[in-house]
Amino acid sequence: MIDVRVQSADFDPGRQLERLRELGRGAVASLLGIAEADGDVTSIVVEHYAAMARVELGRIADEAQGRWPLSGIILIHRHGSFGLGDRILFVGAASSDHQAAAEACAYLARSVRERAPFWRKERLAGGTSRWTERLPSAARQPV
Amino acid sequence: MAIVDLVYFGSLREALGRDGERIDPPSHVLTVEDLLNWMSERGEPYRSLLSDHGRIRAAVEREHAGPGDSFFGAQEVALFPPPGAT
Repeated sequence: MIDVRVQSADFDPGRQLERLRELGRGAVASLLGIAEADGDVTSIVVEHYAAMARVELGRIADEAQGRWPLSGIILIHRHGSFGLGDRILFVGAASSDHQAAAEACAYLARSVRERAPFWRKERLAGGTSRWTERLPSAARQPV
Repeated sequence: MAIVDLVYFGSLREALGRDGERIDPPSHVLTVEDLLNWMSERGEPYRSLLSDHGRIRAAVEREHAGPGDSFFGAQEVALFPPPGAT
């Protein structure tokens, strides 16, 4: 079972864990990604490449399925505006092998972070904002 | 080379002030690196934003592509900074 979702709506991580538990295997590993920021950041905006995001998450899940003996994978990535502490990402993997579930979960989370086409903009107190990943020269200034 | 829809995301989209544009690159522009060089030659703001190839990622037809990958025949090429929202 592979379930990949890109959505603006919140999700219930307990429900997702239960779905993986119901597969009846010996281990479920998961990671919950939460909006966090330092300093005077008041909120976060996550932009995404809609036409590619779900496809890329599917590729990542397929790769994990091919590398570990998994019976279930759930990937949920949200986009839109977030307050600090809001849920952004859910990664879950179920397997009969504890180590496989844990390793696959780590791989999924790392791959999503590095490859899934989502970008983060931080809104600051005072009305300015900044991208987490900045470009040289012209894009360096807060906008 | 046929007409290609370029789409921009993240800080690159904002710095360029547009979501994308339709381009008609010359026939010798075949790879992602060729494309970045050709776009940079158009002057500012492209030169400043695209000339450091290590800072720009690309996707051809919604699949990640490296500097040497061809976009020949593609209808859509995306340019963006390294992803990561979490």
